[in-house]
Amino acid sequence: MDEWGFLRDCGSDVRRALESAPLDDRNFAGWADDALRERSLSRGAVVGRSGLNHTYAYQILSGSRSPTRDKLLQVCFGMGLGVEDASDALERGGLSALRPDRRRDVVIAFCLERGMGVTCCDHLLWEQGERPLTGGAALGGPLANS
Amino acid sequence: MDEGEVLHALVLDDAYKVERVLSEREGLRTELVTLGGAGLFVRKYFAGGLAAPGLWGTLLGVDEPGLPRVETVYRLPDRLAVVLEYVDGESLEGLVTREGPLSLPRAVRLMDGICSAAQALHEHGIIHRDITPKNVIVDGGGCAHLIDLGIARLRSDEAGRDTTLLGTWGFAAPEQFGFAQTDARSDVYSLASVLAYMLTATWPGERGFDPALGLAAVPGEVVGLIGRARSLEPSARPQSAAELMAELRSCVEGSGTAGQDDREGPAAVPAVELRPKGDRSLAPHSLHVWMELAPTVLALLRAPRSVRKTVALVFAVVLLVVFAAGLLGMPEQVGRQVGIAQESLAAISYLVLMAWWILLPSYELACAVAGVGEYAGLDRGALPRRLLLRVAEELFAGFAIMLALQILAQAAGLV
Repeated sequence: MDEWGFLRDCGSDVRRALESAPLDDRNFAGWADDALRERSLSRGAVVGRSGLNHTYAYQILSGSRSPTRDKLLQVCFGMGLGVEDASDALERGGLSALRPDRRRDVVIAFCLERGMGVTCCDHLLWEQGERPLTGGAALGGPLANS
Repeated sequence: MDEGEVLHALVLDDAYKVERVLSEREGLRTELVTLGGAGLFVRKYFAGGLAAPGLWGTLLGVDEPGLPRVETVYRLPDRLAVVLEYVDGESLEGLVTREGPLSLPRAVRLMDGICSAAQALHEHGIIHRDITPKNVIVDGGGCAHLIDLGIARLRSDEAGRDTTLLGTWGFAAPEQFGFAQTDARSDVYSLASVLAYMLTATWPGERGFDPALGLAAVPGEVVGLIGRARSLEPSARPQSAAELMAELRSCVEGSGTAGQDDREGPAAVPAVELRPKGDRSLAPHSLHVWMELAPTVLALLRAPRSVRKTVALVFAVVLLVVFAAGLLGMPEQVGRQVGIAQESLAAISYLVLMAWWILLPSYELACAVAGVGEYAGLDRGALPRRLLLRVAEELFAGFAIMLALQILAQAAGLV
């Protein structure tokens, strides 16, 4: 998709460019709020499915905590997002989007697209020799109690 | 909160659908919400220091027609949520803006509802602290409801002063600005301000408020009651909302205007003085400040002359004249002319007084350290003793004079 196509039609006037641009400066919390409403999702369900401490997950959704990339990905799993929306969520959270040229990201994207949960994703990551999202706690592995 | 509590609170929170956000300010968000087919509710979120779970827990059991019913209270990890009955109607501010000053009988009817609601709060140990026309809703039946307990607090007898300085200028009692703890009498001040607003359609504290009250078609007794209930000194006000309402009814019945519903023109009743002759009790703060400044001037008169002390003496004399004039109500008149409310003058006078009491001992200490004036030539061992004796002497003389003046003033009926 040509995201910058609008620049071709605005000539030399930057104001026209700004008027045509699909501006959206919502942070993750604002975006998540709208996304939950559009998808008729409850925060309780998202928090429960994320596998995170409930208070921490709530704070991420409300914007009062800035999570690591893996923690935000857990929230994306809780929200049942696809890879495009998850990448959007990561960027709004000030983190790097999922990249198809990174092995670990490919496994995570594969799980997101198929609607898998956090635990299943961690199993696949472990099998592929990659670091799980939860640090191995969900799998009961060596990192379970770290 | 444990995991289960967070989940339960989130399920409860998500059950309400937000129709619109009514207001949002620091730490407080108010939404209009629905719950399935159960109708409209108002949900308030209180963050941080504004959360008062004890207060809302108390209100859960209050059943008063003039107060919105508290449906549920629950805690989220970062805030407290309260769901209240939605009161449909127009704000008193909107009503008066639209219709102008209300007739006395109508204002009294509305005051009856507002005072009942305030009294119910006070009986449960709750002070509203923000009774304003914006927070009074008049329903379709003409009944008043008191809403928005956003800054209400539970009365605490131990606290010396409220730690949160909030309120609406013109309606909030002076003690809400940090000089003392608020109690039911603070709400009485606000109730009287609301009554005055209903009768004049003028915001208290605005330049035209006093003249408007003087010209309003209300009996002088009602104007006098408003003045008393808006005294700076809480002990001079009616001591409860119920007492205020009883006195208001008594004033109205006594003046024979109880049955009249037609508002007379503003020129029908002669202007009434806000300060009835012989009543000087409206300036107790000025007398108090004057008495506390007198010992300071005495101490300065006894000190050796120097440039600094001469300047300070002139300053003290000017202040004495200003505060003595408070006995005659002049600061209020001066304040009206320059557009400063009497409350501002009181606040300024207290700040000046506090600064003065800090400066005087500091000045003595500086003289002692520098070895000037009566400290000149003293050896190191004698300096602290002389300094302590001097400050104690001045304080003792000062308090003795203050006590004597207080006794004289009370005997003369000035305080």
